[in-house]
Amino acid sequence: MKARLLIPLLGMFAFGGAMAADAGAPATPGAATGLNAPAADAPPVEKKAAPAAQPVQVPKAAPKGAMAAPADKPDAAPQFVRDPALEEMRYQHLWVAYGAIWLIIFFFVFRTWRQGERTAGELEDLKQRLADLEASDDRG
Amino acid sequence: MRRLGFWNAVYTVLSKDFRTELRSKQTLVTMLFFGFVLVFVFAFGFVSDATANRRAYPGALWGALLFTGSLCVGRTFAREAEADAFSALMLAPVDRSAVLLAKMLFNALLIILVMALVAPVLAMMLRVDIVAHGGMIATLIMLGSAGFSVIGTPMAVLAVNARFAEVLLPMVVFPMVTPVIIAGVKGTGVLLGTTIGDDVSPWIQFLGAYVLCFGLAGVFLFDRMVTE
Amino acid sequence: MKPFPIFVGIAAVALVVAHYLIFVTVPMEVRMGPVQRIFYFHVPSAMMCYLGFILCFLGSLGYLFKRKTKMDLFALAGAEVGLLFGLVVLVSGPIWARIEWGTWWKWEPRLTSMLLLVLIFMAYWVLRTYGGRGEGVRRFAAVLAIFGTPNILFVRNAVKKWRGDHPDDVVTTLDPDMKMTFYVCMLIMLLLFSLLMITRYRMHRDARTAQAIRRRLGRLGGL
Repeated sequence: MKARLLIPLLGMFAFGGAMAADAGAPATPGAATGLNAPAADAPPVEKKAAPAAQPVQVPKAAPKGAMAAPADKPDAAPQFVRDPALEEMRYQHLWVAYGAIWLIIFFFVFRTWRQGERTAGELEDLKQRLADLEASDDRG
Repeated sequence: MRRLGFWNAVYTVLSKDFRTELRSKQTLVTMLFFGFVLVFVFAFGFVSDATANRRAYPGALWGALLFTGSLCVGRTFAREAEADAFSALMLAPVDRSAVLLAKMLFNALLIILVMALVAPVLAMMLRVDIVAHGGMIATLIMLGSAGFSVIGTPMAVLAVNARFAEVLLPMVVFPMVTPVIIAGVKGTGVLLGTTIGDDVSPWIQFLGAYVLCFGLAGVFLFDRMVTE
Repeated sequence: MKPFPIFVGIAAVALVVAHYLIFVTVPMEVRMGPVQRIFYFHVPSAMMCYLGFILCFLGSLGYLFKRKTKMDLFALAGAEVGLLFGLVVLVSGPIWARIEWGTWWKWEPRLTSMLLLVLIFMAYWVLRTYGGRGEGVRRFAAVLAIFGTPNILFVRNAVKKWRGDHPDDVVTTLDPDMKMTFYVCMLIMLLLFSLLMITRYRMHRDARTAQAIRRRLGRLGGL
């Protein structure tokens, strides 16, 4: 009986996975920005090429671990020029992102804590009342 | 009582629903009316030059399907609820999955019927030529309606137990059904030449897989879903 | 309850360590500069989001087949914590995207699937919170979770097969320093996730017990 129910469930997942694997959907508008299969397939190659492409342009830390994002084309030289205004904007985005993350997590934790305290208090109170009621029943 | 076979049960429930619907035409008329109102609103809102109209057509069409579909699916057990017959249907000596399958098929057919009338009217109002790809668009609509029905019908059965079912059911069904809408919009766009790509078959495959996947899951799990 | 405060303490220290690693130790990435550091929280949050939803799926399956309250509460806790991390992903992602792609959002497969997944479980949460009490609603939500989870497969495969813009499989090509920081952040997020799961589960369990006691008091005439 259980197999009758679980097998189709697993089949559902297999189908879903196979579909996701097979769906060679036509190129989405993402293709318009210049990304296509060759770029997506060759990040390791580009990673090796990238460090070589910007030897002295970076005044700060050595060019370590360029993230193998598909758009990492060696000819994107202007991105490596350290424009202070751009850097400032990037730092701002970083602070905003982490600030937002912390706000969300903090808000969630705070709400959980408050609700948890309230519920625990109610539970104690109710348990006490139940105990009292049962005690008075025993007595009476 | 003799237990009815699976397919006999499906046929019985389906024909019962058809006969009731043909007599009262409640759901069909409301859906059609709502569909046409949507068509007018979309056409009025988006009509512009020929290119813009072509771009707007897939979105408007599948938006209309989404809304008329929710109306249909929300009323899946309305007739049974009105006559207090829901428990009777669930307790009948048949495989409950047969009842679900019949309801899924019925909903899908209703949506297809309504869209068969709404799609050409929308095309006329936006002055888009769909006759050239009529067959493929019809296939997409049929699969899309089936996809919608396959998700919406089991949810409608379960929503009977929840508060604010009229609000919660659409809220629950829309995110689940969005892949169908996306596939439909992209597929229609490809056919009309407004989306990048020249092959509509991946989207048709996607819709077919979706219908099979969730259809089978729903039918097989239904007993578990409504066990009292 | 005693080990729990220790757990909280460890988590707090771990988070401080994570921030030290992310903002002080790890080398600056060449192309994106400072904004790349978002990645150290963004990707582990995405993993935790999936984990939460998978736990919700398992709990829902268990509830549907076994009708055990514990499974149902576990599913709810999983969905809530998964939603938290999903929200973190959907907020930090666009901020990074603004720099990388010049736009807050793109309708590409991975982003769309992630948004859909979060929407489905948001519907789950609204259903559980406002759909009323009772076994029927819990069953409804369980079915929703079970049907909604296969979407994760689509998210995972989306970039590979549908060729979206979202970077994929970056971790294996990372520099060793960055890799270490990334794995440490992953562990820390897992710690945070477990902590939150336990807390939410306990809270819901207490609420359910309180409900049962209230009903009992009502029957005994004590209310």
